[in-house]
Amino acid sequence: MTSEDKCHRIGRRSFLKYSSAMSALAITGLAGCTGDSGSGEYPSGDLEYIVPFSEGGGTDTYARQVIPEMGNELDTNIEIRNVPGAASLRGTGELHHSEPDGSTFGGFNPPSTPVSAMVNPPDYDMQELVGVGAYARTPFVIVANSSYGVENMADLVSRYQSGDLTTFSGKSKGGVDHVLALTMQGNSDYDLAWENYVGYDGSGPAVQAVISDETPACISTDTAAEGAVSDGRVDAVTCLSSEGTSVFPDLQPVTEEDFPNIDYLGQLRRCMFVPPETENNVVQTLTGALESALQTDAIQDWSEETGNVIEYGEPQAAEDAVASAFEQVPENVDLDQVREASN
Amino acid sequence: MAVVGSLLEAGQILMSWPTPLWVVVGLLLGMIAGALPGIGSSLGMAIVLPLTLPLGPINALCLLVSMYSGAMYGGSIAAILVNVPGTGAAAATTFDGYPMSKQGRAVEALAISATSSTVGGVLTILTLIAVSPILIEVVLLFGTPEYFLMAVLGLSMIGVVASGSVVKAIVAGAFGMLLTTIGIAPNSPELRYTFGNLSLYNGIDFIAALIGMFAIAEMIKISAQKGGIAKEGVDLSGNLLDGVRTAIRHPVTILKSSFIGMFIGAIPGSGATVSNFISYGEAMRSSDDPDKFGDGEPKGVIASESSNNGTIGGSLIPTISFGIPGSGSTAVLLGGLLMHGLRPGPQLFDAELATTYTFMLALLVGNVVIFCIGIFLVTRLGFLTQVDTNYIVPIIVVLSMIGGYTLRTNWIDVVTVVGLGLLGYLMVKYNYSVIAFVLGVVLGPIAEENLLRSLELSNGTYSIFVTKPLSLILVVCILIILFGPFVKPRLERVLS
Amino acid sequence: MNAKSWSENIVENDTVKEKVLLLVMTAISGYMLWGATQFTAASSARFPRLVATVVLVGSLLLLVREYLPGPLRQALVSEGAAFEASEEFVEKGEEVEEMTSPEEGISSVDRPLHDSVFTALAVVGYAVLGYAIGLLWASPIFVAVYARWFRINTLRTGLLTGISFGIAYVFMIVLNVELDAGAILLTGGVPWL
Repeated sequence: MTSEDKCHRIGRRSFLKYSSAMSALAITGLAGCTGDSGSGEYPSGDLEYIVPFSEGGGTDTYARQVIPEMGNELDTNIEIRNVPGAASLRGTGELHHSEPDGSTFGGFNPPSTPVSAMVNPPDYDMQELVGVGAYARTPFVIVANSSYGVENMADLVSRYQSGDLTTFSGKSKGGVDHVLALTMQGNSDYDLAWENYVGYDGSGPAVQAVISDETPACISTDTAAEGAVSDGRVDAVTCLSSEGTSVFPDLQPVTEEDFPNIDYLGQLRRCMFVPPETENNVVQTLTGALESALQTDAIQDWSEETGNVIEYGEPQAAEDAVASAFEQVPENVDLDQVREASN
Repeated sequence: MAVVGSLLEAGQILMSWPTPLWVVVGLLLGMIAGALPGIGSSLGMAIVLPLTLPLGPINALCLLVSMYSGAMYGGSIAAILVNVPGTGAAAATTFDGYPMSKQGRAVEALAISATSSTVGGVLTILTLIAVSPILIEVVLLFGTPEYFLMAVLGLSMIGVVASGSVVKAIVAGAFGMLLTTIGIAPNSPELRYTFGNLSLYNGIDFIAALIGMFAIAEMIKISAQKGGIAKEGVDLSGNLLDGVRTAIRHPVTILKSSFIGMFIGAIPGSGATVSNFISYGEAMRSSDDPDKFGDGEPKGVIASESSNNGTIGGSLIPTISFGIPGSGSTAVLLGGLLMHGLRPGPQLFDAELATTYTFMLALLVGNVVIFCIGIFLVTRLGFLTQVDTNYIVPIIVVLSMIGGYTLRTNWIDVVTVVGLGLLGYLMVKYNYSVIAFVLGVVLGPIAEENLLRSLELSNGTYSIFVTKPLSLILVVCILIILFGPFVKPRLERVLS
Repeated sequence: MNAKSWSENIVENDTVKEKVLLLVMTAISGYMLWGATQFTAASSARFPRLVATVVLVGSLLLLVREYLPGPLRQALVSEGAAFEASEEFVEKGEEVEEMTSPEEGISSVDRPLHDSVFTALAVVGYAVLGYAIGLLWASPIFVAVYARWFRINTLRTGLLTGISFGIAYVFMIVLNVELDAGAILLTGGVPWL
């Protein structure tokens, strides 16, 4: 507890700041209390990072690793604030309405949040947000119950076409999984002819339904399917991102089977944003901090130990991920059909 | 014999310093998180999670599972003393625990709760260690139609637990279910009754509903009462051992409730909140004297408390077997496993078996510690029931309000706490069963979601609920609960 | 009973208050039943329509029960057993619910409002104030007002107020919730805390 004494001013909520800085402290021997934060320059005080999901989820886990390191880089404290609800639209809205002075930034994961916004439009335009950068990528995969012995995507498609399989599943209707499923059904190059989409309350329950053969196959994130695949009760069929997945390094992406690239939907790109009209130098400072934070030993070790992939992306990549979702989704899927698709 | 070797190794790991320290720290933190409304085990564990990074996997996991188990017990403390269910898992504990406090039997109730929690926890963890491979097969027998039937089974308990007018109880239960339809629909992106407001997108939070219905309603009521919560002139000392004895004298209730808890814990999306109500309902249904329930019947406390600690064992099954968390707390626990490089799946029962056993043993030892803390420290809080209500009421109201806001930092939850507090006060006063209302709030969404999904799976035919033997058994159980009370006396008359 | 004040007659009249409860439930279920007809997806309306109908019919029947024929009224308010068979018809009146607890009276501290009515109003006021100026500031104000109303002496009032501020402060620090900011005053919180 001695490092606490070193801080001249234990700011409010310093308990959490201190706690999340502790991991960094243990490894690098540095605490974010060096004091001199400069005058008139950015950042001039504590920052706030909005996580639009609850504590303990994937996005929150990443934030609690990466954000303290960014704080170290910027020589300031960054508070993490969880604003969950409304399929991440609530927290993202709060970010959008924040002062564009760089004191508040936040993260969400296109295409997931944009899809929610297209299905139930909120009162702000998500595309106005300014990108800071991307820090990770979570690909979607398709898994099937192993009793069917599905070999690859082409095999899965032929089984749905022959009527052998009819039901397909994933997360709740109106979310990115459902839109993905509809895209593959409507796109003639895929022609994944499922008759019936069943939505589950998250990737976990969907995978469990595949394990117990309630539904033959589902869309899942790579990490959520890992345990079940290694248990041997389900097979990983394909990876929906052209870049593949580090969780299943041998798994063939759809693009390698000559299906069209659907990366605008096939992977979550975990990104950070600042409110519209934030000045360029602020963005650059944050981007720089993000880039160097991701290269620290602390983050690299954590990533290696836990398998949580770290992948830096330019600010433009973050904005592109949002923009391409808003462009391509309405082109490929009838959103009214998404809204009404329930029997 | 690899199992025995791993168990021994796990025992050694657990006993090596400082692991026992982290178990106790976890239990204490968990009890505090559980006793305070609005925090609960999942939020408490999530806050501690990043702190565990320097601890190493074993200590970190022992800390986290101990918090989980401490919170299950901790919820009962406030439930018994001041009618505030710290967590949803302790909601049914208020039904008889708080009346016991009013009769001056707070210490006895707290002792019963500590004993039942411990026995329930120990039994189910032992079962988990002994037969975890079989359990997973049982869990997999349950699918969407079965979840729906389980929810209906719980709802049919409304008829059992209602005291007074059945019509009023049905109205109360349906009203609870109706309120849960606010927010996004379970199987389409339809927004129901949200007035375009993002705060209402996820509907009302059931913990906020519980805080309002129990805590605020009761505070409004007892503010008009002179003296403490316990009636005047009652001697608080000396009934500690009575509590332990009472709990042990009801082995059937403990056994049944623990395994109901374990079983329901293994089902995703339900967990301890559902299991404590179902166990309570079952204890009441099978009782010779159901009228005593709600007036300080120790069996009610036993049922609720042994089931919620039993839930832990069950909820670990899908979490460690497949990495599929069934509840908020197990989701955080899963985060802890992953953060420390442990991958759920068969390797946790193979190469990492010693680690897995270590945290199961930590739960086992933790339950014994719960018993000691519960009996020797927590029972001393019984004095709170003699403090003048004028001092208790404002503090509990502040805790409830701040706890309600903390749930999701959403003012809708504060509105829920206050609105249902006022409504709950009137409902209690005019005999509209609050238990029925709460059953509706908790089980309504589970019933709706799984009903709609079942119909999606079956293309709209209801026969999906009777085609599997398991679902058929559940249907028969529901019919017995609903019509048993009407048929039984006639059957007896015919037979005699 | 002569001491009943005017306010008590209004707020404490039992049949009036139960009517309020039933009217609230009737209104909410009626509105939600109507709302369910506006949904685009048929399946999302199924469940709300079912439960809203149950609440609406049940609360309407209870609302007008004194105008209903005897046996029907009996079925509405009596315990489950009366459903069983008419031959075992027991005359169980409504006295169960008319029961008033002994602590009911006017104010225990000689104030013009019933204790429970005051607490209920104070809780509502607390929530509104908390929204306006932040719960960190509203909590001690609520506790102080409450303690003064119930004539708790100054020292203990101060102590309770301090405890409530402490609780709010600890929640804010440990759980990182923004309690110091209100929607009307102090919208940015206070930087010096």
